Amino acid sequence: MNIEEIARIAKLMEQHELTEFLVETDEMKLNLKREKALVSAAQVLPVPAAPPPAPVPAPPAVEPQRPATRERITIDSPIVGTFYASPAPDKPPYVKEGDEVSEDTVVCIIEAMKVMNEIKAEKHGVIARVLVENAAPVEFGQPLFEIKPF
Amino acid sequence: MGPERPGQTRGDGRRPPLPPQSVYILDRLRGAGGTAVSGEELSRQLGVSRNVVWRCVDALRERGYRIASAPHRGYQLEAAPDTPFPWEVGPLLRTRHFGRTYRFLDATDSTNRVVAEFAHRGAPEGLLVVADSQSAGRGRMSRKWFSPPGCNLHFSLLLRPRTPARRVPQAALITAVALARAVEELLPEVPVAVKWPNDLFVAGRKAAGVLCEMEAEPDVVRRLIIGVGINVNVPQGEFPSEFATSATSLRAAAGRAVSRTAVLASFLNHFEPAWEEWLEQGLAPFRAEWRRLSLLEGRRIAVESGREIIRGTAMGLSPEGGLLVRTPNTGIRLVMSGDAHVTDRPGPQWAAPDATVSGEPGKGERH
Repeated sequence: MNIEEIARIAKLMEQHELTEFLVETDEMKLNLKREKALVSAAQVLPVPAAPPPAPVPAPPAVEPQRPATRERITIDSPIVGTFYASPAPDKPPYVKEGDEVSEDTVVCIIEAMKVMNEIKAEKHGVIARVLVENAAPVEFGQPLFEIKPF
Repeated sequence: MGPERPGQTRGDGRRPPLPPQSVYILDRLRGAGGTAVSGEELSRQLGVSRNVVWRCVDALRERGYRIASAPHRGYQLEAAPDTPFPWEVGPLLRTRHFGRTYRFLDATDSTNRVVAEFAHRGAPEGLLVVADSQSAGRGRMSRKWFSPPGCNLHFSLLLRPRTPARRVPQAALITAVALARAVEELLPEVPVAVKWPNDLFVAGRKAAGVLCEMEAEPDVVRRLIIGVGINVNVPQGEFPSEFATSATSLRAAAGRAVSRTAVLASFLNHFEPAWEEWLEQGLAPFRAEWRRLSLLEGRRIAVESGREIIRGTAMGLSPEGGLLVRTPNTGIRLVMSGDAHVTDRPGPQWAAPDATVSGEPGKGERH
């Protein structure tokens, strides 16, 4: 089976308003699914190429699936140093999980060689996770917080 | 009181600002070398009334200048305070930017905080805020700093270095080197040392501390505030007991009063060229000097770093400015933050466990 044949099947599915087409042989398995105007190929083995998308008269009714590894939005350390969650040992942390932060919210201090670096959220959102423990060493670029943006 | 515009050379708002003619009058009185200058002559030269001259002289008196006046003779400067007013420090400066925008405050909670406010409103690099006394002098992680009014230096300098944020912690080292150079210049008889990363020791005890605060993204340093506290003229006996064996002042080490104005000017004069050299060439030009000055070099030390204590021998600076410690088990460790103290010889500066040290002392410090 080659790309032209797959394209022809896709065309036929569109013409006859078929939503699924499955063919299985010893060497391969082709499963084409179509939702309204959307045609997509899945599990095409060993054919590596997907069918060329047919011209689409209407937008897809279903959102394309998100990739499994959702991109994390994090606040990262700009320097190598030590992470401090609060301004002083006896003070509460700047932020905790669930806190709403805006661009200017100070979320922690990274200290290196007694230079204090106040880290700001730089984003409007909610602290989803604190990724570093108080007084732990951090590397350059290491994620400190996971943030759920608004 | 809130800070007004940077660049003003005035008091803290509790007093009326110094009239602009006052500095001229002060210069004339100084130039007269202890003889009197007539009020009429001053009023003619300045093109103001005798009454204005009188008010200018009074404003100087309010700031601690002892000026005698006698009918038909005029005004005579008898004594000037050792207060780092801008018109006192300014003539001693050889800098281009550092301290050229200067704000003097009689009192403040924290000069770092004041500079941060100015920085937020776009103040230029080199802005210096000096306070005669500071009520909430902060050390690292909000540690307290003992400082009675009128005898020490508390100041903060605003910098906006065009360099990646990851390099900026090295500023602590450059500040310490400039402090050491200034004290060596003014008090050549006093032994001076630095303790990683930014403490100044004279005669074996801590005499100055630095608190740097920066606001940065990885590529842009929006601001770096270098806050410095120097024990200049505190008599040794006046340190509270918890500082008594760990802290000292320049005066106590030198055995004579030291001019705060001269110390501040000397620091700025050393710091600006060192800073520029560091921006261009990095730490390399400073490493030999650091070794010479370092209190920890070659010594057995313990470093409290985060929740860990690292023990070993201090081996100098890493290229990034970190402290290299040769440990018995894990080889050479690179320490980027922490408090170090010498463990191989309990000298006077280590005699008091848990003693806090003027400058940025407090919990966790074990000098």
